[in-house]
Amino acid sequence: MFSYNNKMKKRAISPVIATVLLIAIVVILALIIFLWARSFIGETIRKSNMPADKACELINLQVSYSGNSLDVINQGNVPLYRMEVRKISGGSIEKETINERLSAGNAISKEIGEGYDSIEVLPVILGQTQTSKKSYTCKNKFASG
Amino acid sequence: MEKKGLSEIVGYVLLVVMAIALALLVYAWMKGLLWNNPKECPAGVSLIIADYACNQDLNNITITLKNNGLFSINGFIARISNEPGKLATKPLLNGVPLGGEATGEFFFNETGLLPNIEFVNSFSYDMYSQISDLEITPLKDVDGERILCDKSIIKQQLENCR
Repeated sequence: MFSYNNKMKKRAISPVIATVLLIAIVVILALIIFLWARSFIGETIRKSNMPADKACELINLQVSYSGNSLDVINQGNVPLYRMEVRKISGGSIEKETINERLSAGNAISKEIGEGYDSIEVLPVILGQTQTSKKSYTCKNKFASG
Repeated sequence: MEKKGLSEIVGYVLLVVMAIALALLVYAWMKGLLWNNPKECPAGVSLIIADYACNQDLNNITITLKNNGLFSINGFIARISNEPGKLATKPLLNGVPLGGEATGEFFFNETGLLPNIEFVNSFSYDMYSQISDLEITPLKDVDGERILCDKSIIKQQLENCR
């Protein structure tokens, strides 16, 4: 009888404090995991206040290849930092970089050599990370028509 | 039953405060992944080449543009091709009436080119000896930013412009 009464009189933390404690522990754990996992995820590059890959979707290029001349018109509103050119001939691909900026509405003509079956242009834009400016190569290709 | 703990109200307040703090944290994190819709040219923008005429003696082209859309147009980019079948990459430079630059950009006055109004101007193509294609890209100011109307680009094959 004595021991039963003794047990009932023991004080424990209230359910509210227990809940708060549990939530706090979960939040702290989540933060630790988030900070740890962040190192595995690449830095987010942003362009014009949006993720770089979204900015890439807005790029509108018109590409033409004839003779040895590659013509590119930037018909969209996203300025290009440079362009990666893939020169396709048979089964082989030659890569070349055009290190010239191409602002919105502008056009460029470059001699890139002749005899290629087709040409693909991958736009590169200049984005911003939290600390610095970084170039981002878009995944969308623009082929000569 | 005589135990003293936090009152129910204080408990709820604590939970609500924590929920709000968590929501703010998640919002701050998600903000980096969200973006505003990019500024776009309104769908009702339409510029047409009402007429053109080449003067082969003077090597100039007179272009009549008409705003056929619902909104005023603030400028345009004019490019030409001097070889048939090639992209129009060369800017129309000479005879710039309103402050055009080497990009072939032309800007109207503050009110822009209003709907149903025509704009006529002559441009020299002396430096190209001949022109075969003309491409006009309308420009529109949207919320203080000049936007290319890439869905309203007009192309015209030119004849007798040698």
